[in-house]
Amino acid sequence: MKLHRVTLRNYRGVEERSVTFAPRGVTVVAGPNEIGKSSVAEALDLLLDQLDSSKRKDVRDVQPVHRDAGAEVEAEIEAGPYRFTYRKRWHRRPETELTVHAPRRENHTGREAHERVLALLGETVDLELWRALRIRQGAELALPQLAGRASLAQALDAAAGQSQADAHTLSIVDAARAEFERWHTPGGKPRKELTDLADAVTSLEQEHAQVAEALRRLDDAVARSRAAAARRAELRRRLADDEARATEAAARQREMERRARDVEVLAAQADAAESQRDAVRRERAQRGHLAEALEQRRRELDAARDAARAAPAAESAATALRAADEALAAARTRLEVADAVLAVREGDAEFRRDELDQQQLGERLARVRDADAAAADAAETLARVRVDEEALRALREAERHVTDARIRAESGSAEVHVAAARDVVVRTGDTEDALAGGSETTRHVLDELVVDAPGVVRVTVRPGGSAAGLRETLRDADAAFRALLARHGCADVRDAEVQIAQRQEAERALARRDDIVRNDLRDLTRETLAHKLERVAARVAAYGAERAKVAGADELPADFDAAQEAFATARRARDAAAVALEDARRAQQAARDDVERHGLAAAKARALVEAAERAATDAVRALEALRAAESDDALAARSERLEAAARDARAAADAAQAQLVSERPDDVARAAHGAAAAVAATRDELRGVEDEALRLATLLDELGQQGLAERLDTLAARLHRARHQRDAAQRAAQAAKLLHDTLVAHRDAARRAYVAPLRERVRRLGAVVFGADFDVELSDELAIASRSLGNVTVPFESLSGGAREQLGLVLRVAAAQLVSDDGGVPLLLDDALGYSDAARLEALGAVLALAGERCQVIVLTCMPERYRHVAGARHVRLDG
Amino acid sequence: MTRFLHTSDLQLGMTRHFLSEEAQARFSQARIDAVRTLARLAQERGCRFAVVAGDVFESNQLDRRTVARALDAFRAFSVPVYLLPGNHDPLDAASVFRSAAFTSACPPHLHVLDDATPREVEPGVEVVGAPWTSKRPLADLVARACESLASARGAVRVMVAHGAVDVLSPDADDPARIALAAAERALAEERIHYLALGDRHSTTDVGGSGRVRYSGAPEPTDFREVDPGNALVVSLDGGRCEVEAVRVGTWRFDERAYLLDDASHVEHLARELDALPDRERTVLRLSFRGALSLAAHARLEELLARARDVFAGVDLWERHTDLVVRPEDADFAALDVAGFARAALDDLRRTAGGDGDEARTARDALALLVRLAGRRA
Repeated sequence: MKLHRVTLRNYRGVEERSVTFAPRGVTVVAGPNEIGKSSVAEALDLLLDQLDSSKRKDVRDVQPVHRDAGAEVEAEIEAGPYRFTYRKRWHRRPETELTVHAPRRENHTGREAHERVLALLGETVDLELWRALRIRQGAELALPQLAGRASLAQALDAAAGQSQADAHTLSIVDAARAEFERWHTPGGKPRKELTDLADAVTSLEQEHAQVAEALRRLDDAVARSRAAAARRAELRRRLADDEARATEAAARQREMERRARDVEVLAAQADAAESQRDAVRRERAQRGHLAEALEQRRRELDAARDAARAAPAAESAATALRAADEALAAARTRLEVADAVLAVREGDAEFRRDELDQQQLGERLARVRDADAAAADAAETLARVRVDEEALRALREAERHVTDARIRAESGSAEVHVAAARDVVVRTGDTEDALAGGSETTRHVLDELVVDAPGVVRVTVRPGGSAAGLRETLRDADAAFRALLARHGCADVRDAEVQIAQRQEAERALARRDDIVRNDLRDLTRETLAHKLERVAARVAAYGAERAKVAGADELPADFDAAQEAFATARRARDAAAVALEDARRAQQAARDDVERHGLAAAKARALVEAAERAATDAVRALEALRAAESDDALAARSERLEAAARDARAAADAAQAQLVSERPDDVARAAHGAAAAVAATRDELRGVEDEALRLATLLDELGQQGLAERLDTLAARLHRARHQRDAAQRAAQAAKLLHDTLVAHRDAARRAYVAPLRERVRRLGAVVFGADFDVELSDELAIASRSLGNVTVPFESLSGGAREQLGLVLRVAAAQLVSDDGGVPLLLDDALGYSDAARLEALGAVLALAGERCQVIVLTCMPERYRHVAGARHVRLDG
Repeated sequence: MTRFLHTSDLQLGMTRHFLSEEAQARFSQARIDAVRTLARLAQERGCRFAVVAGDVFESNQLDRRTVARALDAFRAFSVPVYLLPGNHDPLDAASVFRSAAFTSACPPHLHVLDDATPREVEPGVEVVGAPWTSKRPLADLVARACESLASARGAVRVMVAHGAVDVLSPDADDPARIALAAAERALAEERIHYLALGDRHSTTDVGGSGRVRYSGAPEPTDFREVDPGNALVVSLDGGRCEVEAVRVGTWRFDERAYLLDDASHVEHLARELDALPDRERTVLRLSFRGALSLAAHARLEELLARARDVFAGVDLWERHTDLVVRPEDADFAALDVAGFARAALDDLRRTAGGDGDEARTARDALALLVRLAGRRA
């Protein structure tokens, strides 16, 4: 289809304007906005769609404002074999006129013309699709969300409707969707209203099942209760029977037990009889044994008597013993005598030794005592003497000093010679000497010397000055000497020398005493020595008297050696006597042994005889005692009787036992036990049944109070209604879903019918722009999903803006070509490239030029310079 | 002359699933009210006592309140009332008659016939029961009760029993069937003078004696009952026995079947339902046969929806319903659809022409489509 020319008259602001389009290639129609480049497209829509009588708003809108005239549109169109001029006028003197030029001339007016055009186009063009494309031709190519995809999908939806009532059809789809979504989520899942209804059913079913189960349990309990009652009655009957049987069996068992006891008594009686029989048997045997024993005893007695008579005489042995006794006594006397002699000789030797000891001990003690006395004196001396060799030297020195001082003083002093006529007192210092008349004295005046002759004269001589110093020296020396003497306890130096000699003598005496003590005391003390001496002395003194008492005391040996000699001789004699005594004792023992041996043999023989006599006597006595109690004949008779009694009793017991056994007492006992066990078992069972009955009664009590049947009925009614509601809702939901799904499925199928050819055309057109390895993928919505170049596939959204615009344009062109077979329908682009930059415009220009090679492209724009790049474009101005 | 009231099958505590909760409450109340109506009737007619021949209660396991309300209603009687345990409320281990709910509230003039011993109502009048002790007795309880009965010796004796009489019951294998011959023999021998039966909800005179009768339920309980809703006032006078059936029921169970082949049938049905009386106490069970267009079927649905609002209950008896919805061209004539929508419509119609759930869903979908399109138009 080609649009050759459009003419507008009195159309909006346009008085009259005619545009001629290039039949092939791109026509760029330029015009200011207010005149409306889009008016061309709009006018074309009105011409084709609206009757001249239409009062629609879009028709009213194009009415010229300042002119009293009807708007008019005229177009010259080629479609397939047809070429025609079509004109409509609205508002004023409406008119429709069609002139078909080819292939056959036709003229139509009015409604008929309108219909004819639709028929002509219908033959050659997919009007619906074209209309859809036209509706959205103002949209941007590169924004597929708004333009390329959504608008095309909607356009194709409408086209797929294939009906005038497309909007209505779509509204049905919407209503069906609303209905569908009332019950389902857009994803197709049931909504809460549906699930609630189903849940209500489920929950009621559960509750119903629970109550039904409870009721079933109750019914079951009722049935079991009934069964239990029946069973209880039966068991009670059975128990009565069992008890009767058990009583009978027990009685029979007791009878058997009594019989068994009788048998036992009989057996005991038989045992007793046999026991008596055995006793008498033993008695008879014993009596026989006794008679035999008596004979034996008698034989033994005879033998013993024979043996006793055969024993030898023991007289010679007794005589020998007496001789031995006498010899032994003599030997013993001789030994006693020897012992006495030996004792005397020993005493003598002892005495002589004591004498010697007494002498020695006395001497030792005297020596010790003397030494002790000397030592005591020495000790005294030592205690008294205070001077020693050293002190002696000091004394001699001090004495020499005094002498020296005296010599010097006397030589330096006056010497006074007093010759007393009468008694005077000469006083020198403190010394006062009475000088008897007639005597004289000379004195050195060393100190004040007074010669006093009382009543006569008192002469006082005082030493001179130099003498005084000498006198002092002398006095000092003398004082020192005297002090030293006093200290050592000496009168003068001579005395000191004597004292030292005494001291040395004393020390020697002490040393001597120690020697004596060591030698004479040895290990003894002075007391023990003295004691020892006393004892020895006492023994010596006593011995004479003692010895005199000994009978036959002979001469005392003269000295210790003689005493020793006598003692040795006495010892030898005594030893000989002891040996002789021992020999005599052995001989006497041998004799005694002989006597004893002979005596024993005789006694044994005698004892044997006596024993044999006693045994024989006992045997006789025992036998006689027995016979006295019961004669042999009586015993025999008794024995015979008891034998018979035992035989009879045993026979009776055995018979009773056999009888008892034949009646099978064990079986009777078992039967009794069995009957008792049956009673117990029945009782147990009855108790069990009674327990069960009680349990069931409790359960029934519990369940029976709940009004289960009524609840079940109520629940069943509710469940019935709930199911009904659920089913109705589900049915409605299913219907809504089916309707919706069916509608959508058909709609999608209709869409898909476009996909294949559209893609093919897009590919062919795109290959020119993008190269031979170009390919695209279209969605069911007829949008471009992705573009491929060789192996590289890129989603549409990820493509550059330019590529998207190019693809959008290609898609448009392809869609336009789909509309009709003869190269498509005119592609009306309303300033389509308004968003493209200069560089992109250039590329799109190429696409447009390419599109123009195949179909008619009309670009409406107010900026024609944008399309400078479109090679071979025809530029038309709308306003000029 | 001795006069007494004979009723049975009160089925107190019964639930009907086709009733809404509200209708169920009224239905239950009506059955309680029936007890009071019976009490009034007994008083009006000078009855000396009343017997309820089994199924006093729907079950042994009832809500305490149900039992309490029933007993409360029985207080309305001014004469002794004898209740017989039936197959619904047998005297088993869980019997309602032995439950605390019953025994604690049982008024003194209410007696349970819990064994087959004759009880003296008043001098010269005896009642003897043949109570059910389990849900499945294994013998003819009436025959067994009669066996142990001596002659009434001048007294009037009414036997109360429950179950199917052999001449009416098709189930020959049921060991508990009541042998009519034996009962009539007992009547002839004057061991009993009247056999008051329950179990059959329709009032029925059994045999030729006129003395063996089912009273029927005082309120209907199901659709298949022939003549429910009555109580019997029985007068025994020497050799005569007069029985009067008195209407006491207030509810109706109405079962109807319709052939629906075009829209006019549906309209006929609408008119018929509109003409029914006591609709709020009427339970309908409807079954349909035939084939309807989508439009006619939509009309039927609308009609039923309205009926459900008006009647106590409307139960569609699906087992006996064979109604085909057949979409017709006319259903779609008014539809303005084209293109893929038209294709979808054709698709659904093809599916709807088949059988089974899929076809039914397709028909529903078509009906929906018609409805949606109609709303848009």
